[in-house]
This record gives sequence, C-alpha cells and structure tokens, in this order.
Amino acid sequence: MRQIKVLLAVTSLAACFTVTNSCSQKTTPDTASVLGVFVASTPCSEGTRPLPEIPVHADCELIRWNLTLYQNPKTFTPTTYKLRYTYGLAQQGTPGFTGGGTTVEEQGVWKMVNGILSKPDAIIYRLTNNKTNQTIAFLKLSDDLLHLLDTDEHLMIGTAAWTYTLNRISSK
Amino acid sequence: MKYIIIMLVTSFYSLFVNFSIAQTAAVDNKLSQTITSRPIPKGASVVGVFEGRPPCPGIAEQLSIVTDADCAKLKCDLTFYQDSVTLQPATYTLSIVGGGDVIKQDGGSYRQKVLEGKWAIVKGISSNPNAEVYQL
Repeated sequence: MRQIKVLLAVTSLAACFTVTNSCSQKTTPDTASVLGVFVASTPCSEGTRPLPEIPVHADCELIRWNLTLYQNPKTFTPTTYKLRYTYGLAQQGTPGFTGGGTTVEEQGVWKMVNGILSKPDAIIYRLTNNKTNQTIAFLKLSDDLLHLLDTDEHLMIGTAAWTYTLNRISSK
Repeated sequence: MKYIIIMLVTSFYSLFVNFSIAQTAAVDNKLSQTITSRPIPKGASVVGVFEGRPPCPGIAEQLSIVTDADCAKLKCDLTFYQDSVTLQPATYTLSIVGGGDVIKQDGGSYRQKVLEGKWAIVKGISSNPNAEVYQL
C-alpha cells in the first residue's frame, strides 16, 4: 500500500511538471519580437521526415519551411516559434507541389544550447513542439543560416536539388 | 496488487514518452543516390562529388558567366580531386548547367560551363578563425 502511495505521489508530480511545462509554452508570439524568419526547401523521404506531423506513409519528397523565431523584446532571450510548412511531391519543372501539397502549422518554444559532440562551441537552436513535445535542432551557421541536425547531431545531408540549410529572409 | 503497481509504473513512464526527438534518425542521414547518364568519378583520387542548386544571380556574377533572364537556379556539380598518394588537394571540376555557353542538343539548347582548376584548404574566415575553407 505504501508503495502505491509513493508511486501515486511521483506520478502526480510528473503530471504537474508536464502540465506546467505545457502551460509555460503558451507565450503569446504576437507580443514578442521577431528574431528572424527563415525559409528552406528540404528533401523528404521515407527515412528523412524531421517533422512529426508528416505521416509515415504520406507522399513526401519536398518540404518547404517557413520558420519564425521570437524572442523576449527586453532580454532578447528565445521564447516561441511558429513553423509553417508544406510537404508533398514536387511538380516537375516548377517550384511548386503536385496538387498544392499539404500545409501544416505548428508552434512551440525554442531555446539556445551550446555544443555538439563534434563542435563544443557550436550554438544549437532546439525547438519543442507545443502539441507533441517533440524536438528538432538546428546548428546556427551564422545569424542568417541554420542547418538541420539529425538525432546524433550531425548535419543533415541534402540532395542535388534541396538542402537542409534554412536561410533568413527579410521584407523589401 | 502486482498489476496495480505495473499499471502505475507504466503510466508514470508514459508521461515522458512524448519528450522525444522528432528529427531524422542518424542512420537515415545518408548520401542521396543520384540518377545520372555519366559515371560518377570514384577512386583514391576523388575527395568527393557535391551537387547543389544555388540561386542564379549571385553565383553567376561571381563566376562571370552568362545566364538567361529567367534563370532562377543553376545546377552545379563540383568534384574535388586529391593526390592519391599524399591525399593533398589537387584539382577540381565545376560543371554548371543553366549558365555559360549555349549547347545545342536534340533541337533544343541549354547553357553549360565547365570550370577546372586547383583547390586548396585554407584556415579561417573572419567570423570563424578555425573554419576550414576550400578555396578554388
């Protein structure tokens, strides 16, 4: 009986932690400053689906990313992100998708962490999806370039047509 | 009693299941296979073959190659060669499709330029003194 009480207590604590964690992610992006908007066209295949909301068996050879990173306007620390992406089959001879593709929008929180195995002084942007709690990570190549990492924190290898580097864009 | 404990332990760990990494597994992060009509260079003298599609304007200006007005991207194929004994950088071949000379083929035409030369590994750029730079 005592064991059950201890387990219940631990379980409740963990549940509270999870709920608190989720709630803390509900920062309003609109009030935060925009650190940058990054775009890319990356490959997508059966094995390489970095985004959790793309079904395993969905037709996917290209993902078009639009990632907005927000920061606290006073402290300039990372806050939230918004990611809008379209995936599907590329329409030959055009920059578009066959049938327009499928568009997904997700948001969450992001943070900056230091170091990967091969580069201890590297800066990593780690994004955590609000809905799924799953994370993806980018290596900061420069203020204007981010490169997607795999689970072992290696740079993702692109193809002849598309690369995993996200490029900052600005409005004219 | 035993089942209750198992159930509680299972539900406890299930709370953390969602804290996972979504990105691609390292085992799936492999070189892409390309379909090509010409053989890809191999052997001890080849460091690697790299392909990409850089936007037209910047690279065309840098390399002083002619492009058409509607050129969006160039198709680049870059092969690095090394001395097969010393493994020191030797030569490179950069093939660019979409810019350069007009090549007529099968009633149509396209632009292509092949650049060849030597390459070297130099250290450092202003933002990263430890960076390894391949200079062509």
